Amino acid sequence: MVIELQNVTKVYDGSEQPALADVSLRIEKGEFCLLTGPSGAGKSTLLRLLFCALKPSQGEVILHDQALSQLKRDDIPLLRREIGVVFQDFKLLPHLTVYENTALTLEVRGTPQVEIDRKVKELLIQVGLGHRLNHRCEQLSGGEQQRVAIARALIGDPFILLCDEPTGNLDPERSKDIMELLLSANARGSTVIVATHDPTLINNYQRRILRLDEGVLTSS
Amino acid sequence: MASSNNNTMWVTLIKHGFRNVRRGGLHFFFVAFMIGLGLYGLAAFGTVWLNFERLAQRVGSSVGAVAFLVVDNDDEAQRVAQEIAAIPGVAKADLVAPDAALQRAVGELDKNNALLVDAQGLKLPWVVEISRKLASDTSPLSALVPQVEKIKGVGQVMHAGAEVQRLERLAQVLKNVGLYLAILIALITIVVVGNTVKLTVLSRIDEISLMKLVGATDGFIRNPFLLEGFVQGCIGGGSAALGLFLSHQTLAGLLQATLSDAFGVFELEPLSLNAHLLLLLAGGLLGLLGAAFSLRRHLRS
Repeated sequence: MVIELQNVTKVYDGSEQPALADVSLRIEKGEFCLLTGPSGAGKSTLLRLLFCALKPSQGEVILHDQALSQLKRDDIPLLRREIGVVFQDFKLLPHLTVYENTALTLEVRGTPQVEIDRKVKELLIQVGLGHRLNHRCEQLSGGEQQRVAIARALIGDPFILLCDEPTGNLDPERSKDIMELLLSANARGSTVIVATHDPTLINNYQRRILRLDEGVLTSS
Repeated sequence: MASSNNNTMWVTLIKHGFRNVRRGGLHFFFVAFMIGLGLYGLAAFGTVWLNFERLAQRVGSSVGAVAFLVVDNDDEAQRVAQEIAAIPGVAKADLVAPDAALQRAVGELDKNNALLVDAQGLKLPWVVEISRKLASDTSPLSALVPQVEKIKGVGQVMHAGAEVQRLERLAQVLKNVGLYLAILIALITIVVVGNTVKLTVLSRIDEISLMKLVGATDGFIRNPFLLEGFVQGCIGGGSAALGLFLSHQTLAGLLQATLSDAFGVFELEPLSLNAHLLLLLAGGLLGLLGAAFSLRRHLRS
């Protein structure tokens, strides 16, 4: 088992309605899950709990048999290196180049420059950005930025890959390419959770579906 | 392997630090300018203050006293002069014999000897001319005079006590005001530099958050900022040192002439080479601390 949520509730400060209410679930190593539900259902909150960007108000999140509430502050960066995240708003650094944004994940781990160079170039060619290596991200289209965000998440061969609407800004052809990338990461051993409310994606890829409605897990 | 990994990490950190410097552009130099301006103000004020102290000491020590002795012979006069010289705070006690005193009076009062034509019969007393040590080392003149008066063989002591006291009081007031102003300038410098650096950090808050999300340790995020702050501070401190040197080169001549006219030959002392180096280091330290304090809150969140 890679991920387990035990009766997790999350209530944001100043809000009476919980973003997540008593959610319990288990995801095994190597699974590919689609996390779905309408906007505001708690999909992003659930993902944020998994990479320690939030703490649950109640309950426990367990990754790799490690309860996150017991995790020391200094260990959080090490845990995050095991997790690749594709953010809904990409979270790219606009003044850095495509290469630099992607390399950041490896640089924080102290990966040698030669290896960074090889892996980054390989992956960027794979996501169709080989010709954009030295362009600053602010010069790219929305779709291209999304692919950089995905490349940055994949570059570290993460054990867990969390994707928040990874195909949201892409045309069907590009969406398919991206999903293929996520599937190949899954085939290499990564556990993947993709948050989406795109019905095409859900219908086209017959995978385990986790459905959230107003913070409650209604289907797993 | 671990060592090679560490080296890679350091190379990355330095690379990130200099990338920040390059990317900072005008904002980077604005922070450096603020640090330089603050340090220049503080150091310029310090230089003026130190020179004022020196000037006050010189004026204070130049005002001495004259003791007229009631003695009959040279040996006794010598003894009194030695006792005066032994008083703490006395730099010099010069004995002037009656003949020498008369000759001096003749020379100074009337170059043509018209008024002192019959001075041959005039008997002047032995006199001890007292010079004080530098004002900062000793008690005021008002405390020295009674000690001289107590010595057996001393008749009258003449001194410009009231003027010296006024000068000493003025120097004390200026010293206190100077200290207050120096503290004020230092505080303003720290607040302005702190806030300017904080703006740099705020403008990079997205970058800091993202680096945390991809697994960067606090050190990995902090060190490039510290390097940037240190380089900024050194540029600021170096500019302040250069500015101070140039100011001394251009203004010292003018001021020196004015002060020398009023108080005798007076050389304005510049800050030493060590003080200039200290300014450079202080700039670096200020930039470093500014970056560290500004980052602290964001790293904790």
